[in-house]
Amino acid sequence: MILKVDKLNKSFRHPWSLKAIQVLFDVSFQIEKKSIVGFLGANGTGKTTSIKCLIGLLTYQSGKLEIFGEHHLNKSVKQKIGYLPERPYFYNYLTAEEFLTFYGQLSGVRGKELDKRITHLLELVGLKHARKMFLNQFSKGMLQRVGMAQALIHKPQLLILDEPLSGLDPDGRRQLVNIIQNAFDEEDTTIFFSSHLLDDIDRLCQDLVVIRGGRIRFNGAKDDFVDIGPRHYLLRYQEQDKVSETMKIDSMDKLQKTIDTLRSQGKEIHSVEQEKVSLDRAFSEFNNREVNQ
Amino acid sequence: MKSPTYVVAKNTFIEMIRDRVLYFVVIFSILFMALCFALGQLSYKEIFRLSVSLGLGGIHLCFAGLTIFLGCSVFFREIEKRTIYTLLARPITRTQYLFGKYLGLLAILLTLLFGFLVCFTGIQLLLGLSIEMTSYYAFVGFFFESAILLAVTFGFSTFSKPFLSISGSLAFFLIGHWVSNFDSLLEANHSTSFLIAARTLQRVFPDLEMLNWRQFAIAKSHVPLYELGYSMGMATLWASFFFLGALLLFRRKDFE
Repeated sequence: MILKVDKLNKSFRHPWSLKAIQVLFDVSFQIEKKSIVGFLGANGTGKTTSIKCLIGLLTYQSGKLEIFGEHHLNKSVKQKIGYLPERPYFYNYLTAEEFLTFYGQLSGVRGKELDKRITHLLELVGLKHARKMFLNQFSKGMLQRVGMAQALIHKPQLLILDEPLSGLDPDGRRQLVNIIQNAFDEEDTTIFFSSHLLDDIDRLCQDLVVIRGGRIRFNGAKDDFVDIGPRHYLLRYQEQDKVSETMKIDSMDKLQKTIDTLRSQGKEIHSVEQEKVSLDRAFSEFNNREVNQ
Repeated sequence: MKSPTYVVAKNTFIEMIRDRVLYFVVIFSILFMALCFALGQLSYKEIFRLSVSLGLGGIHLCFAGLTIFLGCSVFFREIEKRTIYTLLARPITRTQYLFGKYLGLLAILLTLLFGFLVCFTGIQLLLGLSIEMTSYYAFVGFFFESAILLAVTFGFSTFSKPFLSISGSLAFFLIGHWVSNFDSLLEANHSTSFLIAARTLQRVFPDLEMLNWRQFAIAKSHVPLYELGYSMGMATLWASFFFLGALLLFRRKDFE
């Protein structure tokens, strides 16, 4: 296990009344090594707050946060994690190269190793041409990509990304998804990223952590999440010399009975498939169930 | 491995030295200093005394203004633009970060002060005034005062917006220069509440006038060594005290 959050509670003080407003309630989840995990939830449900607690940008009232089996704020832990916040802004008057050198040096990378790493990463994020350009000349997509490069500069074992794809055009999103996938494939990095863009999470992640109202509602394999709730079976059969037909059946019992009936009528069973549901639909059904409960 | 404090300080220096806004402020400051010198020229008899006094006064005001501007804007910008998020995610403590920022800004201020010193000498030469080494003690005082002021702006910036930080730092600067005059005011005013307020302020605020060596420049005399050492030592202690205060606030700060 690479990351473990156990009963994390966080509240903020109201600026005027100073009344505590709790935003995270016993948040617990864990992430296995070498996986891409999506942190899913609507806006304002506690994704960024949880991530900020993990990074050390926010203090918390109670809970145990461990990364690589150590306290999450240990120096040795921070040397192994990369982080990209939501809508990042960086130092305007540094070039891409200076910017990456700065972050590399802060993480203990130096000399020729750092030079090689900068060259490799600028190539990986498609900014080789912008090495000497000042960051204030960068577009939003370019900033997001150079931000990814800074997060990867020290070959982190765990990459934490907060809404890395929000606000990007489709092309920019595709590029960044490829970079994340590359980091996972080539750099052997475990990736934990929050998003409310379900298509991209669906495309990238094997595992999910789902948060709602400051409480964790699911932590496990994406396939298991998608399978929650009733799923239909699609039965394809054919009568002699006729076109094949498909029937939608909502339970296993009914499916067995239907197969028996069709066979007794001399019809041929071609295939039985469980209905595939997109993450989008599964999430929407999940939310509806939560609201109804 | 380079110390994270050094890396942050170097980055702060590079980032600031390339900022165009800084140059506008510096150009304005130089023009203001030149204007102060020009006003000194209006004197009939005491051209040197008045020019140097007004010139150094102009530099003093501009430099204090620059310190407050840099201290409040740089720190606020770092939080507002969230560049601090990615920095604090690195293996760097908040103490190292804040100290790095402080050193980086001090380095900028030292560079700017050197620039002012060159301009000051240049203007004196242009006006045909004699160059006195005793004039340069004032610059040492300006630097130590800015070290205190910078630590104070850091303290304000950890919990307030720039307007409030600038106002608070400005008030600190003014009170710091007035506390030494409270005794003469107390002689004239016998109100108990005024006495309590004045005595409290004298204990809470550092006396920034102890770093004002302009009168030595005007009198063309050297600052006594013990006064130099005492004032610089006290300034270092006050700067450390305010920096520690800022650090205590910063270490507990939530970046919401």
